[in-house]
Amino acid sequence: MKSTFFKTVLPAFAILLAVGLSFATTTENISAPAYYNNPVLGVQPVPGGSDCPENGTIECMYGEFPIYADEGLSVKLFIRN
Amino acid sequence: MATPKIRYQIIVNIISFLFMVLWIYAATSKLLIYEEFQIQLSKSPFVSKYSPQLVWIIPLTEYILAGLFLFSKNLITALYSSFSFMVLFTLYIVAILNFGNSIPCSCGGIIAQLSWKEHILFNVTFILLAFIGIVFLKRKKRIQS
Repeated sequence: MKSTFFKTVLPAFAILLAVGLSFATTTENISAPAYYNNPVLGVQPVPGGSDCPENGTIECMYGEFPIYADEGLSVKLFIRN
Repeated sequence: MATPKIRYQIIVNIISFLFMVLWIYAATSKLLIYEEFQIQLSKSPFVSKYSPQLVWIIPLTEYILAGLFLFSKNLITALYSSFSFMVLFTLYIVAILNFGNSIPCSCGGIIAQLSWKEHILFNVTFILLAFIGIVFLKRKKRIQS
C-alpha cells in the first residue's frame, strides 16, 4: 500500500501540481511592453517586452539602449536588485 | 517510531517529490512562454549564440530529469544530475552577475519574480536538498546491504 503510494500517487500528484502551477502562474507573468530609443528608427518596442521594475540603480538595457516603460521614454526601467 | 531506513526513505521521497515539481514546473513554464524565453536567451550573455538550440534543450533536459525520479533504480542518477544542473545554473547566475554587461530580466513562471540574490538562495537550497538526498539514499542502501 505504502509502496504504491510512493511509486504512483506521489509522482502523479507532483506532475499535476507542477503543470497546474505553471499554467496558473505563467498567464499572470507575461512581460509588460517596453521601449527604447533607436537613433535611426526612433522609438521602438522591445521584442518580448520586459519585466524590469521602475525603480533600481542599474539601467535595464536592450543591447546598448536603455529601456523605458512608456513610448514617451519618460519612465526608465532598472535591473531587479 | 520509524526505523532509520524508513526515515531515510521518507526524506528521499520528499526530496524527489520537490525536484519533480521543480523540473516539471520550470520546463512547462518555459514552453508556455516559448517566444519570450527565446528572446530572453538571445539577450543572455555567454549563451546568446546557442539560444535557438537551448530554447529546446533546457526544457527537454528538465523533463528528462523529472522523468528520472519516476523510477527508483534511477534515483541516484536523478539526484546527481539534479545536483549538477543546479550547480551549473547557479554558477551561470553568479557569472552573469559579475561579468555580464546586460542581465536578462526573466526566467519563466513565478521564479522570475525572485531577485537574483533570492534566486541564488533558492538554487542553493535545492543543491543542499540534492546533496542530502544522495547521502540519505546511500545510507539507506548501506542499511539494506
